[in-house]
Amino acid sequence: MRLVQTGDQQAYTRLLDRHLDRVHAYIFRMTNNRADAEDIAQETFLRVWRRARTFQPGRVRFTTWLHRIAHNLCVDAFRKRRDTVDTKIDAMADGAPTADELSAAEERRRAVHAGIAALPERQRSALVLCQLQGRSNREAAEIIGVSVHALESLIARARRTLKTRLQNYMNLEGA
Amino acid sequence: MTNEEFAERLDRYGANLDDWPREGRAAGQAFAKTDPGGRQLEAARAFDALLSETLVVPEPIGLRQRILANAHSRKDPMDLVSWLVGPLWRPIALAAAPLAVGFTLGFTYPETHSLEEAVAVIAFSEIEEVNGAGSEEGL
Repeated sequence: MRLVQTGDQQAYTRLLDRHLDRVHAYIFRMTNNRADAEDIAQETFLRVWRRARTFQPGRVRFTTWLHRIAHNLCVDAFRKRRDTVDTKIDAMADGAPTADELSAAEERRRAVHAGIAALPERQRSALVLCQLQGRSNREAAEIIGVSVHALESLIARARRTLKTRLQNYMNLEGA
Repeated sequence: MTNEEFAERLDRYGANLDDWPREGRAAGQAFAKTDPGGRQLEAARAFDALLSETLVVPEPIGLRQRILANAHSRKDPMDLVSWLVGPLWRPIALAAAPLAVGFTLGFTYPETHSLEEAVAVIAFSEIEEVNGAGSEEGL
């Protein structure tokens, strides 16, 4: 990162190769939309390049800083598109294929995505960061901007809500 | 550890008991060996598996190339600001630059020219040019 701060393009390329997949996965799991995930991932890494000088190595880990940029961009996108997203979800509910029309696996996949998308923003972020991205509770708390205790409460609420919603699919899983 | 406490900890820290905070980990591991604890742990693991199996991320096509192309072509207006908030010599250098230019111009301007002379040269040079052109036409 020190080299990137000096404008070294090769160092930036290496940094991109090392972190792009993970950051893109986080954003995709947050947005559940391929185009949005790519747009936000692109903007995240452009900000890393353009604002590299504002990164202070002694104060925060690079991955935390990087995920915080991605997280904030996701939050901005949610706020801008809240109305649109709500409309989309409603439209999907109205026109969604029936369970018979879908394979069990596809139905389960949709249910999980819908369940996560319906979680409040911070619960979703906490769950995705810790459960699916493998970030520590402490790092996830720094990314979202809450205490570790608050983060653990967010995860617990998210898991409880999802377990209730996905109970049938968990039974399918066990069958 | 009670059933409720175990369930609460599973929700907070996940189904991998090794990731639990040290305090309470041993009690959790012991409770997981009981029938109710084992059932809860199995359900939590099924939940984790359900999430990780279904939330597959599609591979972004061409994203890396787009980012590199944009990064190397776009400039951020915040660049100057972030440059200025760096080491202290930078804002000092920026403030001193106009002074340096002024001194340089001032010292290199010929001393024989007073301000009045300079004004007169500018004011009358055009008249002389016009007069000169007129006399040339007259010839």
